[in-house]
Amino acid sequence: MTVNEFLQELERNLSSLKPEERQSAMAYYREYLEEAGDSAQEAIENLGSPQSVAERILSESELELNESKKSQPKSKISTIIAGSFILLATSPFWLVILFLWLALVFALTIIVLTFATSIVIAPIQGIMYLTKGLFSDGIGDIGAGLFCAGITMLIWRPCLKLIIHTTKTLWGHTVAICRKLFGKENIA
Amino acid sequence: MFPISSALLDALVLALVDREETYGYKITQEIQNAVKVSESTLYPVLRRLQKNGALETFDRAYMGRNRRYYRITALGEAMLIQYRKDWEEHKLQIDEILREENLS
Repeated sequence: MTVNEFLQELERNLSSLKPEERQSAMAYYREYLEEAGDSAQEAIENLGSPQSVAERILSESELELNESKKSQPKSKISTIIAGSFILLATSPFWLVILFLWLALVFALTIIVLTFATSIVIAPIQGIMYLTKGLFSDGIGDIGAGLFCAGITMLIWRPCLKLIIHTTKTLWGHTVAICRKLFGKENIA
Repeated sequence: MFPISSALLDALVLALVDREETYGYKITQEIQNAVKVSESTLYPVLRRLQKNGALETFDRAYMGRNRRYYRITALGEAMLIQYRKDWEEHKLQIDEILREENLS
């Protein structure tokens, strides 16, 4: 292979490169073979095929491309500003959901706690009535306490499950939406 | 015998260019005297160092044509100092394991 053939073949294999990069590489190898002078033929043999020489140059420029992509993620600050704006604009929507969730957790907790405290309070009151000789009131209150105990046993587990399930689901959606808004890297 | 890493190759090129302003063909020959690398390895290394700002190029006429010379920059010098330090450390660590134990 002559010097010219080598250079032509090399240029052909570098066609995917940016013109500036291609020219730089071509200038280098043109000069390189000129420097080799009489031993240019030997140099061509040592360099290997124009394809392999081109591959080396191409793989290096790919590396660079990947690195520059890595080091320049979408401008962080602008994503944060844009994300914050969207959050603000959609606040009427998600604030309602937030309050609904708070109301649900609050209501369920209060219901369970009401029955649970009645288990203790009602029998105490009943015993006080009994000591005062008010048998019907006393028995009634103790009965109410037992009733509340039964209700509590029935409802605490479903209520807790409902709270956990709702919270988990909403949290999952919140994280997913925030990731979309602010980019994955910014959210642990 | 031992494969040469791309960091070490960077260090060698920087050291050579630091010694004197020189050109691609000569750098390749000198590197090849010391380590076994393919002749086509050097251009990407030189181009990368140039793009990183460790080396800069200038053309000088020679025998009626242009020769592209490489010159080390301040950044390149700083990198070279770091490479020399790292190499010294690396050498000691390797020697620590390789040296014969009967000297003590």
